[in-house]
Amino acid sequence: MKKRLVGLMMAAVMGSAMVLGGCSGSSGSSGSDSQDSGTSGEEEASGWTLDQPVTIICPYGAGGGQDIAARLFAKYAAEYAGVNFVVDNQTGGSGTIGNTAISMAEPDGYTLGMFCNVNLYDQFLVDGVTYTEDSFIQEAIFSQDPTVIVANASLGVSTMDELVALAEENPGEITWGGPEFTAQTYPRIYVENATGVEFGKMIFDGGNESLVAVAGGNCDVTSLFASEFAAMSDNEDLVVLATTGEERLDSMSDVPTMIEQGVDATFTQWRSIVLPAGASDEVIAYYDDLCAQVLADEDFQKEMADSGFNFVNYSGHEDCTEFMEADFEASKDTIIAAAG
Amino acid sequence: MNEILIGLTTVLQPFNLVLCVVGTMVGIVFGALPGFSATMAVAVFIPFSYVLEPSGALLLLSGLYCGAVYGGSIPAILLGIPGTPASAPTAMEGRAMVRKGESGRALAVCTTASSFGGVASSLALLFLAPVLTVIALRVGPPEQMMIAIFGLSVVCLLVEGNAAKGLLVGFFALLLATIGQDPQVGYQRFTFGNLNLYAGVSLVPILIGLFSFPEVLGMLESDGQGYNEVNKAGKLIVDFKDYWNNKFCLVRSTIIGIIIGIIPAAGPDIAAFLSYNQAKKASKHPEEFGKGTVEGIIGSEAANNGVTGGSLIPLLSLGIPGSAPAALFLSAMYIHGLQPGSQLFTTNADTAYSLMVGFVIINIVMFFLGLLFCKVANFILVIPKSVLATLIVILATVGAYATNKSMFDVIQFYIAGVVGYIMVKNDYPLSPVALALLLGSMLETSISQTIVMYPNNILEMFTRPYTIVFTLLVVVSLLWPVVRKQISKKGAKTI
Repeated sequence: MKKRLVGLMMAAVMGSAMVLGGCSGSSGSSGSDSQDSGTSGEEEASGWTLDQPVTIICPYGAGGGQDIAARLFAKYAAEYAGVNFVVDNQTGGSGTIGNTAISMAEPDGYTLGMFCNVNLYDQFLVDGVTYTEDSFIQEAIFSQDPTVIVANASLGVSTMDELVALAEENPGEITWGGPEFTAQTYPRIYVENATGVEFGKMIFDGGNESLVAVAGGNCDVTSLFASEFAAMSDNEDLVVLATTGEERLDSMSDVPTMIEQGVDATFTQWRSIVLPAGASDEVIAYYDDLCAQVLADEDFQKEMADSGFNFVNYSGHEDCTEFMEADFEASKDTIIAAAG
Repeated sequence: MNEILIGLTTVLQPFNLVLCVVGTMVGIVFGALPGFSATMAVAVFIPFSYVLEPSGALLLLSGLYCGAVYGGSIPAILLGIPGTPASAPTAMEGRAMVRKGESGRALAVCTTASSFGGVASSLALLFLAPVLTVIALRVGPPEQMMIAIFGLSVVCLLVEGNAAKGLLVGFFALLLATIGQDPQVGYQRFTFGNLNLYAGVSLVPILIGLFSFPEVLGMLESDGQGYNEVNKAGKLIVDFKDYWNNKFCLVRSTIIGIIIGIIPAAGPDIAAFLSYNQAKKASKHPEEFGKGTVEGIIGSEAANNGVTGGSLIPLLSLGIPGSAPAALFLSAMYIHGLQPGSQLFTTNADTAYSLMVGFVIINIVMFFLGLLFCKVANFILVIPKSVLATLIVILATVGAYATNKSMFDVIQFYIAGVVGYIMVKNDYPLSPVALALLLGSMLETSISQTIVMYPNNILEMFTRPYTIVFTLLVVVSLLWPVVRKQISKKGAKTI
């Protein structure tokens, strides 16, 4: 009898522990995003305001670039809007699950999405994807990062010209590493498209695995963000060939772009906050204002830069949509061709 | 030395010490709940760490990481249900020891071995990081391929006496691992247009379902007696003899853990299986494995906690995460403006050293917290099984859902559970499934990478010294049981 009692007590303790665990879990994903929110930024002009917490769906896991950007935005948006912004990581399917959720969300202004230009092409690359470039209303584009093209020193090349020449002599044998259709391999597609050479595709799972492989001499070339490369920038086995933007990167001003070196190709990855298509004009107008305030905040800009992002300031759906369409039209055909 | 002292003073600040203790404590709870993994513990708390100082944030996450890797072993021992896949080998031994009424001894051994592995790997992180970093760079696709093959060869040993069923299950699980986007050309295989399967089956929910359901249903079946067969919690005894007699096993397992930790793509789960396998091979009493031996627990526990410090070595020096939770560490470091790489040890020396010293402290703290936790957890054994079984299923369902917040994962969890139950009832072993699912994608990716590296003749990979070393390991591993049989036969004759 006594044992049964102890047992039941244990069960009760376990049960309550579970409830507590559940609570701390959920507050973990929401509580910390809410700074004591100032009420300064109430927007009267548009007539529509927020009166309950807003969810930002992030299709990638906690701790990744998209997640960090979403949480930074959430923190400052909460200050200006006076309500909490909660980041909800809906991962899986290489981002397609979360993006589908954003595109299907009720367009009432209480669900936002953390978007990335790479997802514009999912419709051509993944069977079963239902969203297109028109499924999202771009509200704020606040990070645009070129990548850095890095080669192993033993390859003996120090410029893009030399790399292209080498790849021309040995078609398919110079290996370019990284997960397909990500920032690590998009530059390969554009270089191949611009010059007609062919690289060996060496597929890696992600993270910085391809950079390790290049440093260890197992792979020849890869491309990655400057922030990811910084940890190994003093490695003697690595040579930086180019950056992929239209202009040089401030933090690596001695590295020329691909265009400067005569390879007519650019690649940048940009990140944005989106509304699901179908949101009313009032909601759009509200977020146009809110995003303009957040992006103009110098502390926000500084925190973005400190987290390794190349901050840009495109706010409001008109500017952002124009920007998105130009980028989409310029790249679409190349990517459809590469996807085969 | 000076930096280490500075690091120590940072860690010993009361608030930071509290963060270490809280992190470890919460980590143990996360690890102990089936379906809640170390990765998840770190992921949930990363947003919290935004408001902390960089050193405090990293100490909190370190505590969570180490605690969760250790915590998974507690239900593995007491219930036969691994809290995380890394504790699956422990479950085989622990459950058997509990049946013998030695739950206290098993928990004590597990706690000590985990802390030993953890402390040793933290010391390696603190003093040997520059030397060991080379491993991360030299182990390329051909070597990873050999490690995966080496890991799969473990299946043969796990299923001794039941080879046909074991291999069948292993091959089938390898097929399951091919579901999703193929790593070479990006073609979708066996997804039937379902986006949820695009990135493959969900590992943790499936493994937890597989291991927990047979135990849970088994509990209910035998509930006629009302209580657990042992019906009492064994005393928690730390017996120095247990470790002295197995000192080689302890050290070897720790080294395996550290090296697997350094290698990207392989984490605590693979380390635990490999090391358990080596412990069995090197043991003087391999026949006791699976029937409740301290050696087996040491083998798997020292290794999976050995991974923790090892996986931070390439992370801090190269910015390369050596395991999934370590990848989250990387983003936490970026958030706090810490740039990994050699400059980390000069420009941010105080934070870097407080993290490394903190890792040592956390693993020591974990020993005492662990014993405390075990003392309480031990009483799980006296909970009526019907209550316990229900609680486990509820917790595991929540865990399966929480990782990706996906109902599809819950469905996979239940399917795996039912399949696992049928398998156990028909005497099919479960561990080959775990190994094949864990290693399948690593094997496939590394093979396709090796082919791209040596497009003309794949045998060129044997010009790499490391590849030869790992190949020899595979060969020895496969031949050793045969050779040993011959040796023991000869030995018997001469006597």
